Amino acid sequence: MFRWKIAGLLLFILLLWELIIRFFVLSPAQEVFEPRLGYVHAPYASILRTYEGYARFTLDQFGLNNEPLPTVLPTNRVFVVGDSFVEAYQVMRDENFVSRLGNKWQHSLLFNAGSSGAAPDKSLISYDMLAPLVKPTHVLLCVNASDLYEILSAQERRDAAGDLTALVRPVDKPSRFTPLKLWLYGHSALITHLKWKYENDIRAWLTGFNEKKVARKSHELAGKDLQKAVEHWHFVLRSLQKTGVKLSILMMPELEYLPNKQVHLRVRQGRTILASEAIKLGIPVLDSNAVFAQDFEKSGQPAIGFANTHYGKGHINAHGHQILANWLDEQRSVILR
Amino acid sequence: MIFSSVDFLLFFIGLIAALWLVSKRFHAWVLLLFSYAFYAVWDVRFLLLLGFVSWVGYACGMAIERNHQHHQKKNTALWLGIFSMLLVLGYFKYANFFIDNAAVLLAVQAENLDIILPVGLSFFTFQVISYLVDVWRGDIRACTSKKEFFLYVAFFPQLVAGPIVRAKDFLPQLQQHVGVNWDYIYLGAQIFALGFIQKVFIADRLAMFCDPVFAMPSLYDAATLWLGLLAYAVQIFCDFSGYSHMAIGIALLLGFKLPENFRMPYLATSVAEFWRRWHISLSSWLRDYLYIPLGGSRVAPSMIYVNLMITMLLGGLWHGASWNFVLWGAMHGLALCVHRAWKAVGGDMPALPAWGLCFLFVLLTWVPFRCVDFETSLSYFSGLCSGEGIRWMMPQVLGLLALVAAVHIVMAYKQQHIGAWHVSLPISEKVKILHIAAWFWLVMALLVWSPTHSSPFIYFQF
Repeated sequence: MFRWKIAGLLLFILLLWELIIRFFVLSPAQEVFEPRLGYVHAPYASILRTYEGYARFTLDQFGLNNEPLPTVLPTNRVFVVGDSFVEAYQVMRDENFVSRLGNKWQHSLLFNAGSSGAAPDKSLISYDMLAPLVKPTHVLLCVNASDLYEILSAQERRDAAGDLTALVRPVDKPSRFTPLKLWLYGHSALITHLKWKYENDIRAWLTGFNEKKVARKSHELAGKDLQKAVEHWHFVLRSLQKTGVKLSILMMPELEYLPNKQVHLRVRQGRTILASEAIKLGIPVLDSNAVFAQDFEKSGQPAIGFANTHYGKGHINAHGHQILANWLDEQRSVILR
Repeated sequence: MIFSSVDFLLFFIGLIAALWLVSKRFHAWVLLLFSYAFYAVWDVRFLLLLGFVSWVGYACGMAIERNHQHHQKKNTALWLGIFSMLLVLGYFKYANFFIDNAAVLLAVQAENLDIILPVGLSFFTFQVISYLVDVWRGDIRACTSKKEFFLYVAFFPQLVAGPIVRAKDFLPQLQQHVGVNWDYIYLGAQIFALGFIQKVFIADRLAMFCDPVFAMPSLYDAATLWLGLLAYAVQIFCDFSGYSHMAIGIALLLGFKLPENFRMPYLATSVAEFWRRWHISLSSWLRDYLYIPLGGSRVAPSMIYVNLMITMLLGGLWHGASWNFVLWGAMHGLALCVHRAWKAVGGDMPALPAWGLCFLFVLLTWVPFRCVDFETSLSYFSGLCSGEGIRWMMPQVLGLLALVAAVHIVMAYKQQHIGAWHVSLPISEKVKILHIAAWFWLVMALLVWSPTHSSPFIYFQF
């Protein structure tokens, strides 16, 4: 009887933690395996994220942060693609800059194809997969300095003449346990959270080593590496140009807040090279650093970081998304040229 | 190797296995070996220093004992020992501080020495000094066993950040070592868990807020700076008290009792009481080996204030070679003087305002203690009054502060109305189930809530 009481109580505690996490921390990770992209969010998955900022919404039929795609598409269809800054799982959907622009621009569809950790080569794959359905007329490719280092690591496919034909990234192949793992993550917020804790904290605690932090240590590229990264970047840009869409590049903000409403603009090598190479190919580049700096100097309100993490670090908050949307609205003629 | 790391877990398992495998008469050797190994993980070069300090302490202790009839020789041995400890401490901890200040005073350029501060130096040198003074006073006999004395100095649970253990408390335990017993294990595990929660669950979480706020106070508004100050007050308490609890818990698991180091210091209603509750092993050390030898309270009234100031200034300097710590010590010394003068004229205050005043004072003194330099401290103080900037009300910090405040209120109520809690033995089935549930809840909470990284203990730097 004693053992049963203990087992029952422990089960009850587990259930309680499941409920606490499900309602206050994060939703179970409803994911599916996609051969070219790896594990991606399942269509119509419910999202609750509170690690950084706060977000609660339901994804669209592609597992992306949009309202379901309308059956009749408007005249302008802007495909906004990039990494987690575009995906914007830190703010409510109507607060992110893509949704805000969608509300501002009548007769335009602003399609958010942002995906966490997506380097430009992965954005190109997303474009290839979704373009037949979304039928973009314009593409806004959002990048930051570290994308230059990221894009370097994409694997190349070349033809007999040695020309670059594709950039790919190997994805984790599903094992025989994958269906079970996906089921567990999809049904338990507690297991999803513990997996996240393991990947981010516990493994680092066990090994005394934080892979993510090491990986993020970007360095200056030079020589062959730099040439290769630039070639990859050109390949992405040219591939998008070839489709006939009007392509624009948005450089996401990278800055540091200083006392007395001052801002230090971080202009890393990657930022300069990505922008200058795009301009060489005749692609307009919109650099948002200045507008973010001006806003902070005026309002003193940080646009990057969250109350529950650290202001000045991490992703753009709701205020930042508003700045970005207002500024991009002013750049409408460039994007929708 | 910090107590909340996996390395330590493996180290401790190895130690327990070794103690279990060898005969009881070799336990002291095993503990000594593991204590030196523990210290070697920080920096193997400083094992020599640890050995030297222990050897000087042992030799001087024996010399005092041998010459207890010859006052001159006895005094020489005592001062030789104390001087050696102060020399070691002065070189490793204060040499660059003195060079910097001398250079400023003489208006010359001076290069700093390339010195690494050995971890725990301030703690184990103070232990040796207290031992020598106790032997000199005749409070204890000199330790005749090198092995036991070396273990007293190097006993790993308290080696790097205290509590500062007195020889008269530790050596008898070593001589009549009870070994590992279940009562100690039961109690030790609970005390260790309490320390672990304080460190990982509270202090490390708060560090994520305090570090950026104290690094650049002028970036934040006044409300954020006040919250940062409150958060730091709780962080340093939970960090250091957490370490002390973990050390006490580990020592109990090994069959040793270490002295209590904290007694809910933020419930103090006067600065004098605060020092009877905060870092008790240091404050009692300063009282017994500095304040009382200076004359303590048995001198002319004006000299009492001088003694208080000297004690607290040196207490401040003990924490680190920086004017910030001197300022911190001076603030506390001044407050102790004011409190004494107030009491001398029959001043009295109801408990609540007295607590509020004392807490506010202690809170403000954490500014120079935490800020890296004078300039940042001034910036923090001015920001507290009229700071404009980013408002950062981190929800996790507010939640943790509410939790800690609730615990303090319960403890204050308990102290006033309930007295000590008693656990009746044998434990009933219902209580056993509740214990298991509480432990399971705790493990889950740690898994779910532990922060991204564990910071080193704050007091390691002293």
